[in-house]
Amino acid sequence: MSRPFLGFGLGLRTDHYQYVIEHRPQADWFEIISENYMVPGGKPLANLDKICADYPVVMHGVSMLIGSTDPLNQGYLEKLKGLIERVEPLWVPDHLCWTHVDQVNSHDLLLLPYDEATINHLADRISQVQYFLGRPILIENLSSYVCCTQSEMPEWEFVSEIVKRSGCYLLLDINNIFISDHNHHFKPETYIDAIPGERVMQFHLAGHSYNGDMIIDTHDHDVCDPVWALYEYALWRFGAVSTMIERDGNIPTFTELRAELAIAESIAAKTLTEQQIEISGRALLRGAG
Amino acid sequence: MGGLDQLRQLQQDFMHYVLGEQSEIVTQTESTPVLSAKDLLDIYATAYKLRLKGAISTNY
Repeated sequence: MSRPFLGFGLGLRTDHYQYVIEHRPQADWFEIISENYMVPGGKPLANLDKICADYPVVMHGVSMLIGSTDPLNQGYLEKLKGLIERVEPLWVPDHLCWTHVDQVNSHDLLLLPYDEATINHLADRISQVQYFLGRPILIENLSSYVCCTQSEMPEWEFVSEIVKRSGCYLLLDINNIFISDHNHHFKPETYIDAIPGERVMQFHLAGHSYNGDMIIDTHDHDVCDPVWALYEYALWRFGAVSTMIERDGNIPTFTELRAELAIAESIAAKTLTEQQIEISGRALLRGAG
Repeated sequence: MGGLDQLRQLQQDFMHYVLGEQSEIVTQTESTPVLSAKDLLDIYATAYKLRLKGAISTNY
């Protein structure tokens, strides 16, 4: 899979369904949360069908259990495959994390120790999922608040090694790198420099909240200036990468969110070279204008 | 114990802590100069309680 450039998208949230369906606002693509549509029928799927008719869609999951030590959930994977056949998404990301153990759901994206045994476990499970789905998947880096004593390497080495061994691609969350940099005291540029650029397929941008000395990944504020600066650095490092903003709390109007996305477009337009803009096509040229 | 068994034990310990049960996870996580491992783990435990409260408030 080479790197297609979708341009600039938004996370599709129920607050904006009606507006998007009625007004068909300009957005290059939408990212959906897959689990919201793993149902036999009803209004969510009807809305999704309408949106898929007008926009490219990426299917982002939160429950694949990639990092869990419970067995992979075959029922979940079959539902995911069925939704993939319906939506025909450009790609299918999930998180580099665990959520369940002993079939108890934490409803959170929990961190893993960065060691050889965990790399082998994840690379094997990602390969199994990719074989079943018949396509490579993307994995997303987490934000985290604590480190495991059994970790043997920095997060960027862990992520890069899993990508290399499994053949999957990366959804690089720029906000998560910024948060983990703050919470664990590393240089975010070191993280970005170490990632294999040819495997980066998508960027996430989001806002966060401060809780004392820690930053919490809340997705309930606008993207802040330091994250925009890190986004610019990532564009400089990787070139044009499909970019979207996630917003899950204090959700503004669609128009306000679209205006925030225009900041990403303008940063990309001024950061990327003429050649990269030419390769990337229409979306970046609009941002430059 | 090593490899996958160690990972499973860590996940079980982490989950027990999040659920407010007896757990050894504090000894398997690092403190920072500013915050103890317990303080850091409490971020996850508090988030779980808030999500639970939010789900109950929404549905009932």
